Amino acid sequence: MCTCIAEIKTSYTKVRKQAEEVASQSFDMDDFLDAINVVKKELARVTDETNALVELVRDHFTEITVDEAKELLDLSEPIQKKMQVVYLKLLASPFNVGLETATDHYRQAMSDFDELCHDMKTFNIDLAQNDHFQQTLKKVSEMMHR
Amino acid sequence: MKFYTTSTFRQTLTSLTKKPKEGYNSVVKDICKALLSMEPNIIRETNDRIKQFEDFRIVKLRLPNSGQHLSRPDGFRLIYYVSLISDDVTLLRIYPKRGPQGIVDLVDEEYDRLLLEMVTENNNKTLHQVDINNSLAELDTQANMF
Repeated sequence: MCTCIAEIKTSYTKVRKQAEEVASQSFDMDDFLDAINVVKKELARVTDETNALVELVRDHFTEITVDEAKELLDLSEPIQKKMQVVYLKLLASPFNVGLETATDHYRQAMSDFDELCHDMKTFNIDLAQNDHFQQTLKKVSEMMHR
Repeated sequence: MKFYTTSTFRQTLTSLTKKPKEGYNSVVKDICKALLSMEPNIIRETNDRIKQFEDFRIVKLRLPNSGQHLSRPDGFRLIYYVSLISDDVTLLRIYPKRGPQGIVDLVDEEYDRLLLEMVTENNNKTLHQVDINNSLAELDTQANMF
């Protein structure tokens, strides 16, 4: 069982709320520079929180059980959807010109989070319940002790 | 530590380097630089570990693509096996995240196949031992671990 599961879930909630806040931003403000600064700041926050969440989960990745992984993936789905909404809004926004670096960092964070979710599904759920793969792991272990 | 490669690793490495225009030419340098920068305990304990079973771990190391100035999220993925009871590391697969040969993620079955291949080649003494201080130059083409 993952000892940090409560902390991980708190982090998930934080990221989801921040993604929702950024997604709800109107990207049509009148004052161009002010608008860019606001969006940049919000974007940096959700990027940093997402990166921190990914690092936290990676730190405990191999401890996460099948049931915990299923729970975390359920929490991940709305985050992934919101992050995608934000990204598409950024690409379509007239402010995109002043936000390339921030948008790219955000995209990388989103991509890292997607990859984490995929790895969790593969290793903590699918392969964890795959008898053939479990047999393969035993063969590796036997190889080491021959 | 001692580093070995499987035939799949060598094939995927060759495939990345044979067309310079595809932008993967720095892959050997990026692999060696990353592994040389990691102390042995970090090679075993890295946050990029995805599976632990008894006395070994499987790691999916994120590497930059320095040739294309791509950071770790957008660079390469190096899948390797590392023993927790000896100094052996076997490089199983390398792939890029972006570009013409970019892969989003490996399918579940591929991890099973990579491990089985390692066991077979180890038992047949057809692993290649390589030198990460010398661009993965081959030290022994009829090697096995342990």
